[in-house]
Amino acid sequence: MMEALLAFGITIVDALIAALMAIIQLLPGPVSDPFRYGFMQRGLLTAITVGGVCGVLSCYVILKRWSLLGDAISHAVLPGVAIAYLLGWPFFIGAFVTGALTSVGIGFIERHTRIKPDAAMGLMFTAAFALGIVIISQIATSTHLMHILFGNVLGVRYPALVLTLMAGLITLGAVFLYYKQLFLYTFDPVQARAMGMHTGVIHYGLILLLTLTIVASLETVGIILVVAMLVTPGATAYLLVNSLPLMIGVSATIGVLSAVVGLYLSFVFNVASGGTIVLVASGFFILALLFSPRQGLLRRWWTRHRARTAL
Amino acid sequence: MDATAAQLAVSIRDLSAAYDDVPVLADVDLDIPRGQLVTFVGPNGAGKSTLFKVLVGIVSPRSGTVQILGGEAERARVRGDIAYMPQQEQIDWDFPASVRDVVMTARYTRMITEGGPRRFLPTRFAAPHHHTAVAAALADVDMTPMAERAIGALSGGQQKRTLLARVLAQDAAILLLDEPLTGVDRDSERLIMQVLQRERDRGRTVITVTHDLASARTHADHVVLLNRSVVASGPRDEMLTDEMLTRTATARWMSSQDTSRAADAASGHGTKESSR
Repeated sequence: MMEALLAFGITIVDALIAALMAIIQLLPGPVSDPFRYGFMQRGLLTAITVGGVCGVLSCYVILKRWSLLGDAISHAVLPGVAIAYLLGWPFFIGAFVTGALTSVGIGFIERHTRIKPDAAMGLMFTAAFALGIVIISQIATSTHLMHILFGNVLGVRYPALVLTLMAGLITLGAVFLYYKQLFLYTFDPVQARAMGMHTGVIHYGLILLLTLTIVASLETVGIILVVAMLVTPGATAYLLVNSLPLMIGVSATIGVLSAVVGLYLSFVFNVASGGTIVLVASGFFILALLFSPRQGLLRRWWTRHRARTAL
Repeated sequence: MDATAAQLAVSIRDLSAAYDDVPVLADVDLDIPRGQLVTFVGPNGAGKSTLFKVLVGIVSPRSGTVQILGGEAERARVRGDIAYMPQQEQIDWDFPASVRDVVMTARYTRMITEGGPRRFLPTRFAAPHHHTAVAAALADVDMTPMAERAIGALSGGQQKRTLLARVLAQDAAILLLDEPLTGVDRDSERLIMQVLQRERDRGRTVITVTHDLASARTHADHVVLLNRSVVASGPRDEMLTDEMLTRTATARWMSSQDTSRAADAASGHGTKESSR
């Protein structure tokens, strides 16, 4: 059963890669050259998926002010990865369990003690992260730890790629099908409750999607940097547009572009791919900060300058 | 019991509510008739907002029962029978949405419950009567020309009218409004009151919370005097007498600070400042 599913997944992956390559062939030689290699093709597909899905979710992270929560969950998946490695499970599953447990734990401390959310997060995620480091130092080589912490998108294998695609599909499907619930919960949770929506279910559902996406992104950008992909594209789009569907579209586009450009540059200059992807995303943010039509710094300087010269 | 309960908008028995271990409301028994403009009046910390939150469903009562329109409160919420207007400060006005987007949210539960497979599609594809309701609500509050504007670009009065349009678009039997007249100019105030009176005349029950005794005096039909419990509930002119207001201000469980604020409220001075 699992084998059949995996085989099916690999067929889909191959088809997607073939489609991607058909597009890449159209590009000039120096650009398309690196993608002759199988590991680059798999890396590209992973990066596109992760960039797009993180981009979509980052809008909700920005609007709900959950950046710190994203950071917390991403660190908290480390012990899960380590335990899964010990037991020989796909590390996806272990990461998901500890990530979800930590977010529930944060909610519990927040609700039942006087400790505020930021401290609850700092407490839980450092503890989980420390546990992960201790376990890993016992069982694995330091290269392995480095890959989990910083990602290794060029080393992505088929099973991990299939899982990443599935996680992405689930997240995108949920965001599309439950758009109304998520909109109302993000904009005005009190109204959502007055209209009989189960805000608790929506809350934990969103956290679950966040965990799923973080786990799916581990191989691409790694634990330390995944939060950048969950904040930067959304923040960039937030500066540019004024409607949620548009913000989601722009943010997903920026996520995909950052992933693709970052992957290419990291190959050309032979530097860490996770870091390069995040730097490209940050570059997009700086561009938006300077040139956004309404909120850009240039526009503000210009209006101030005009006001001064008019006097 | 059921026959009379069905005549009531809200029927509360033996209700108590608390935050953590601090009791806020106790022994609340309250019947609110349908088709009236009802105002909750009481000093700060009297539990007016908490009672509101119980009706909205974000605070669960510690004990007691709440019936809405003669049935279970949660059923009324899911049917979309309770529309809620928050104070402006509770809304994130930087949210990337237009005025129409915000008013459209009032139709969401109905779209979800009656939509069939269409409920999963963007609101653009929702049944025409949802769009009609939104357009009518926007027209009611004079916001039609600003329907496509980003909510971040609205003035205070326009924000209030947007939230009021959202309440109207829901087509609910009960309208709950938290301080509907705070921080609006004269014109907006007149418009809001006209709309609320019209909704009342259509048989809807409009319940407001206010710190402003003057507006309760001119606008309410029915007043509920609250201080940790219901002090009295009845027609406006019987409730807003000096004697009744003093009784409300000095009701049990009051700290000295509360009493002085309540005295302010009873004399009609300094009520707005104490709301912050």
